[in-house]
Amino acid sequence: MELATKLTLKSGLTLLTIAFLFLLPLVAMSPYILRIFIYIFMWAIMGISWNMLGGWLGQISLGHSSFLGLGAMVSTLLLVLFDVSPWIGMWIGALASISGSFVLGYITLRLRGLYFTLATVAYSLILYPVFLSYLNSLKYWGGEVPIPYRGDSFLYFQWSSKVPYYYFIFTFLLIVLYIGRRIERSSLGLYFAAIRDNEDAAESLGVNVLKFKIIAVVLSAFIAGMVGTFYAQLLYTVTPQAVFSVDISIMTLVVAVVGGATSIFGPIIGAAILVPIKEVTTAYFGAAYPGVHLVIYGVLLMLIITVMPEGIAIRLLRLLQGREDHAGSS
Amino acid sequence: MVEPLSIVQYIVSGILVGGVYGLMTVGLSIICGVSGLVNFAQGSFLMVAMYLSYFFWLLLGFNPYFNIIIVFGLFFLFGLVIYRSLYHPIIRKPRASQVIYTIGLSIIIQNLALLFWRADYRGISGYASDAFEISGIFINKAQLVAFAISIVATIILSVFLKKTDIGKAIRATADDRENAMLVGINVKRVTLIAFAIGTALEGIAGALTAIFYSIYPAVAMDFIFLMFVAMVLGGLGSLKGSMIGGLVVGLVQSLSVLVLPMDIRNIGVFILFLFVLLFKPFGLYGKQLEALVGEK
Repeated sequence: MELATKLTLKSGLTLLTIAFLFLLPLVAMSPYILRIFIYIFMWAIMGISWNMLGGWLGQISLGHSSFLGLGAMVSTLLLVLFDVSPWIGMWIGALASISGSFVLGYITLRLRGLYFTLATVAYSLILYPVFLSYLNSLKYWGGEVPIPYRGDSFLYFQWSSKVPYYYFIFTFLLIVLYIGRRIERSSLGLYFAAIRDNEDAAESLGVNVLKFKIIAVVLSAFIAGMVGTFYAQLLYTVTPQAVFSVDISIMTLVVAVVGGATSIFGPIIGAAILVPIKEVTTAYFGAAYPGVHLVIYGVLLMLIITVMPEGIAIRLLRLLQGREDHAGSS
Repeated sequence: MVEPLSIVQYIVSGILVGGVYGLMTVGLSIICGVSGLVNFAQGSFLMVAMYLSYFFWLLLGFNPYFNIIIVFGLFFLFGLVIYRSLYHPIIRKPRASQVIYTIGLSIIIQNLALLFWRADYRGISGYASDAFEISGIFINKAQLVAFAISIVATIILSVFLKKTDIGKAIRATADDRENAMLVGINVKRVTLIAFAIGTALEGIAGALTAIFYSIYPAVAMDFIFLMFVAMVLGGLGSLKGSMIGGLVVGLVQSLSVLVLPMDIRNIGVFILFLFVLLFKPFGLYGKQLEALVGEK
């Protein structure tokens, strides 16, 4: 096929998919299906955020809940204590998440491999009790902060319908994808790849490794922090147990790895596979058997790592495109 | 104001529990030292050992101290089987893959435990509260015995590693895998045995912990992080270092109770961990952890 035809075909398909997903809520859709799509988009964003560390730099984070949690806690506290609109709160929450990532980054980014992974977990495990005791001191016993319901309100980021949440998170996903794609194709992306492939070599060539790592971690934290505000508004309640949980960190990692850690599109595939698995097993087995979906996630994780470590997305891409233009995608 | 006597009390119980953490860490560390494998699922192994001992006690009426021997044996076999079936395929894979793979395994084991055994807190009753007093300090009998067994097990292991042929082969392999291969050591077999030993030690530690600690699926998570912290503190592959790391973790955890509520006492351990990483990125005790730090 001609390169030009191929490109137009590709962008045509992309546009078609975007248009389809934009029109989807207009076609009568149950809130249940809508909710699944919302979670797919949300976890895809989290996975992309994870990839900025895991895929771009090869640093495995098992503490992404700390970024999401900081965003969720800060924006919600601003809302309930000072009546700050979540539209503003989400930026401040993301800033809090960034400052959190600076602390984490300063400690951990000189570390590699396992140390980084452990430090990220330790970080989220520290944040949880800190927020819990702070909330208890505010008389939010057990750390549960309900978001007061004010009816449909754009200002307070609250709707009885799920459709506005859908459009928000879908748009957010598109923006994140666009930014991620731009970075991957810029010189920044090349530096990241150089650091991932051989950090020492990059350093000896004069690349300021720490600087690029900080850029990646800040971007990653910013995105996950924004998701945090959205998550809190979607659930109408926040507890430190939930938002700083290892479960969130695990879900983020699984979405990214199963989908494909080196591709910016990987997490979308990952989320599109994993979120329905979770919803279906939860509906099928109910609350009586918690954790069925996590068993399946675990099996998928082990299988993917042994059978196709590049993740499902890249494998699919290769199958669809043949071999010729795969070189550019990894 | 905290009374000096109660500080001593916390130090004593911290050291006692820390000894068991030390044994857990020795198990993790010997596997990591020989194969370079970072086994995130080790905490789940420990959790399963705790349940095994609990069920032997509950269903068969076995003495929980006797269970230590059974669980040790069973876990040695379990180690051989699980290494052959699940760990062998990833032993030469990049470290990042190993970490994710073993995280996957630990998710599976923990959630199967949650499915079959539920999230209820269980415990072996009748042993945990036995204590005696020495000049105002209460010493928990179960913890004292657990401490003693942990220390003895670690000493036996280090003698085993120094005196026996297979022990020497394990040390040689941990030291330099390629050279060990060159001098004719069957590195694959040695790795298998070291893995089984590490798992069996986790069995002992689990059976010991089950006597004085609550048993629930998420206990795996609680302990795996403490173990990793202890291993990083102590330095990879050093038995003495792992034991000291475990003692430090136990001590810090116990003393944290003086300033923090009981259920969040681990925060002290994690803060210590981050500080150690900040100032001594290669652990308190010694050599650069190339194997752990490198991307391989």
